[in-house]
Amino acid sequence: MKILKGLLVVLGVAALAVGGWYLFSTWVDVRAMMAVANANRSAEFPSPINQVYLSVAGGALGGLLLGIGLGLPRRTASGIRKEALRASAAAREAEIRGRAADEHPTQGV
Amino acid sequence: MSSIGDEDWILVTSYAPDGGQDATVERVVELSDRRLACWTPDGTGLADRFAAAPVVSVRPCSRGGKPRLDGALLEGRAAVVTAGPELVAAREATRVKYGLGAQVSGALDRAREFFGAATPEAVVLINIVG
Repeated sequence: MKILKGLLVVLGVAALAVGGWYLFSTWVDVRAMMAVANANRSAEFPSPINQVYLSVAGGALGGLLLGIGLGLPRRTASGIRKEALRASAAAREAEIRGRAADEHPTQGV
Repeated sequence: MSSIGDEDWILVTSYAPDGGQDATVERVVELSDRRLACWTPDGTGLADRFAAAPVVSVRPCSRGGKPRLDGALLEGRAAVVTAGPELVAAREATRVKYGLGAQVSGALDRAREFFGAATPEAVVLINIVG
């Protein structure tokens, strides 16, 4: 598991680096395209680069939250401890209840 | 390691013959090793309760009766005493340990007795057996 964890971290960082590179490349291309498009039109068109930024930020944040969500344990350590203590107390109380029934003063009367 | 006699409140649960159980929150003092005492200014019904069901479990709890999960759940044999040196010792030990809280309970009980029937004081002695 330790190897897999390290591998996933390396792959995640590599994917972020590749994504960052492509985002930069897209920004450069979009700037050039918008310059050409606006040069030949009477009205200016808004650049779609902001939507690209939002898409990338949404994807990165979604990936991060999903990873954290998948990585977190389903129960906390204190929850597991409390459950164990409750189970232990219930078993102990059942023992005492059993002895109470055996030793009851009116038993057999 | 602190003993259950050092706790502020304990939950005393007795087990009725019909399978039911009766749990009450009590102040506690330790009279001697593995011998607890729960003094109360109003012992109405206690003698019947513990005569019918002397096997009890005790565990530390909050003032409201919520058991503390990390506290030990102990088994004991309870008996009710309404007079004698053990009652006096338990009452004094309770006053020393709880101070104003025990005095207020006593004063409220005296006020109740003033307007209604007498409520004999009592002490529940619990021998811890396990």
